[in-house]
Amino acid sequence: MDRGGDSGQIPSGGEKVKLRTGPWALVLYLFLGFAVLWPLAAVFRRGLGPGLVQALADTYYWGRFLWSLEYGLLASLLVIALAMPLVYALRYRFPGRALFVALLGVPFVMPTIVVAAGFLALVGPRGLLGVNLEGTVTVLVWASLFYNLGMAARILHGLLARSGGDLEAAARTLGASPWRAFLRVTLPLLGPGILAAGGLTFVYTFASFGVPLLLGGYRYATLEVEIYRLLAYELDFSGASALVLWQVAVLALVSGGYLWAGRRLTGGLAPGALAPLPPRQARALAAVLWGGLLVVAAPMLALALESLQTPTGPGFGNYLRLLTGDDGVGLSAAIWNTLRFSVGALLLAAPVGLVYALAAARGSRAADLAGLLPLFVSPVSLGVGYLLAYPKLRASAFILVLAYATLAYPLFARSVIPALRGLAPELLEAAATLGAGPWRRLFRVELPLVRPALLSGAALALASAVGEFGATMLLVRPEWTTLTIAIYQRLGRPGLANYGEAMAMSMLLAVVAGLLFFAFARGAELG
Amino acid sequence: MVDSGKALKLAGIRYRQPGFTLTLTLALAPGETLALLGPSGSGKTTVLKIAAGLLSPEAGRVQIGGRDVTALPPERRGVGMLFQSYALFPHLSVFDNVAFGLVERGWSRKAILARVEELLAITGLTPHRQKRPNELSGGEQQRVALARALAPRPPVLLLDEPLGALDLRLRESLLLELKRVLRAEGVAALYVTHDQAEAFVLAHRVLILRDGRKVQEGTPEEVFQHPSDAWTARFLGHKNVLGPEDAAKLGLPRGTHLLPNAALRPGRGEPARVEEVLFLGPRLGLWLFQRGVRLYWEGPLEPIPKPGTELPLAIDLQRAVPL
Repeated sequence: MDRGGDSGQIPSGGEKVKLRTGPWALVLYLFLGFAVLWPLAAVFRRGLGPGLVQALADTYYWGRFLWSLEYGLLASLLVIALAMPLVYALRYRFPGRALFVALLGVPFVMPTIVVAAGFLALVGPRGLLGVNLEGTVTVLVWASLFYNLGMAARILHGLLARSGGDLEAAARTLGASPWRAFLRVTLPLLGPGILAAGGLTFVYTFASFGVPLLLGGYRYATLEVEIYRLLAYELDFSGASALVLWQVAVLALVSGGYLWAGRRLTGGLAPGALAPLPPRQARALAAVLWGGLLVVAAPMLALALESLQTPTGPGFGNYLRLLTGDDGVGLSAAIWNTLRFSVGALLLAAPVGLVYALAAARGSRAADLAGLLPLFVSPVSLGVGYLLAYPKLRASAFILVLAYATLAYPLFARSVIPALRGLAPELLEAAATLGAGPWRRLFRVELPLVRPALLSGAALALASAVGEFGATMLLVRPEWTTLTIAIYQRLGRPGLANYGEAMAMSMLLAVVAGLLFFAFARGAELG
Repeated sequence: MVDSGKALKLAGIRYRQPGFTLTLTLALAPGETLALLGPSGSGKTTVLKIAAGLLSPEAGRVQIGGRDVTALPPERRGVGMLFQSYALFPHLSVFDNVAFGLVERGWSRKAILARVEELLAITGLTPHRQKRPNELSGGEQQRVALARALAPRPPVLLLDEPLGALDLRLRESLLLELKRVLRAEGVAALYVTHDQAEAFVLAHRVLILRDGRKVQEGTPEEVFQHPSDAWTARFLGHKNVLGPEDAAKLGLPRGTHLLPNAALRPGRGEPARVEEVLFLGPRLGLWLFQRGVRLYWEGPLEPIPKPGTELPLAIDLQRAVPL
């Protein structure tokens, strides 16, 4: 890294005080080259040959591809259709609004296996509702809604709050009815937000893994699931690589569109000026919104209830059995694995994320875009790349840590970048005139000022590592079994005991992720 | 309830918020500019929003051109409004911003083109017609907002501190331009400001608002020369508002008095001690002590006195205004 900067010379101009992106960007590119680009290149070498031709000629794969596309589009449309009225409602005061807004961010940190377990608890073969929706489109779309509705609402609400009531009021005084004002002013201003939220929902849904793997059956397997099956059951590296290419092409296309639209966005639920409502209407609005939230989030409640069901009646038996861990890989080993891999990932993700954040916040547009790369390479694809590119690393748990860190550092950085950008440049200039060099400015001014963002970034990164499932499924060895894998294994075994233990473990993970979120990341900018 | 002589009438308006009540009646004649003057929090913007239909009053009626519009939404009232933030549509060009209201009213393309070009010419924006608002300076944005509000030829224009966000030099030139455009369009204007100089330059009449109530109303000269109470006098910029004790020391009858600047004549009379000298360029500001009363005078004076010296000062008690 740049060690020559701390030579004590006082910069003269404002620009000199802030701009030092080169060295930071370089470190980021080196990491990306090792952790993403080289593995992707290995996939390209393997997949671009006859594998791709075969895959493209196979109607079965076309079916998987078309279904993934359909699933992504369906979910995006539904999420946008529900998010629009939601953000309008959020402009008003209603009982419990602050908590409601905070809860909208929770799904972002919920591990996919936990959500899948929640849906099994509610509408699985043993589900609370007594209706088995396993293997239906309904449950898959519902899951996507659970994941993406809050994210979309945050993006759109940020735009709506910034556009402000003044613009609509201006349109009204110029003769536009409420509907015309929406059509001519609000909708065009929300346009980029709609594209971004829809695009992001599509990306997350198109490449989703955990929920379709557990709930989709063979009929509704996404490309991501198919890639995993090809490798795990048939060891077909060529076929898997070809599908990865297929998937990457779609994701790159949509992500490009998302980034283009996203340039005009700020996320987060800005408090803004809330419109008051008469008490009766406020209560009615609260009832509708909380009722809606209850429906969307019902699987999590079902999970909590089911985790307390034991073969001998309600109680804490499932949790107690986990503590004793009398069969094979018990909970203690899984907890220990999850803990050490996640902490290891955080130790790697935090410096990489910080380097990325510094380069991006100081104006390197290239680094800003490049750093987002891992968000749009699916976890399973990344796993395939690692298996192909680093066969020697397969014996070392570092391969898991590397995958976790690669998937987690953008979350860390995206939470730190807005905070860094928000710092008044005068602060750094003042520090410089007081004799602080670049390193001293970083440690004495910048980092202390963005501490809350660093904490929330670390919490998001940790939550992502703790709940990682897709890449883990490909890379894991029996002795590395993590909590997510342990849950998956138990869900696949027969018997009420296994089911109960899976529910209890899922609940444990959900609580950890929820605590991380509420303690540190509640106000963080997500996505 | 038809009162066709008035462009805008607010009758018995009451609007309540926690800790704040607005009660007001005002009338605006066609072509007249009325300045609504008051400190922040006095309810000025609330009055505008009620007139525009963006807020509903608890009681009272709003009439525009003699027609009761209290129940009508903003889009059916036909007033123009200039927002403090300008509220220019960021996704539309200057031309399309100005044309917005004309499109809503269903004007023909030809008529829209003619009217927008006319306004762009009046406001000197013709070279910027295809730019987006964020490519314009603050003063240019302000002019776009004015042109946009005026385009549909509203009988009444509501202006919410339209110069508030601009720097001093720009304010002065835009103030005169605003006056010229308002007179040329012949529009009745309700102008909200906290700056008395702005109100005096622009308005035919001034209405002073304090804590949601009218304190005084009249022409700028009337209001400035005969403020209704000590608070109003100070708010309008008078420095020599004397309490009963100070008034008695100078030989005035009992009660609070206002000594206008013209009542003080430095150069002759009783000696006064010079406490502070403010050099204001063409004028001087002097803080003086006479008979133990602290007085301020402003005007041209040669040579410039030094602080701590004495200066003869005559006080014309006939000009004192009892409050």
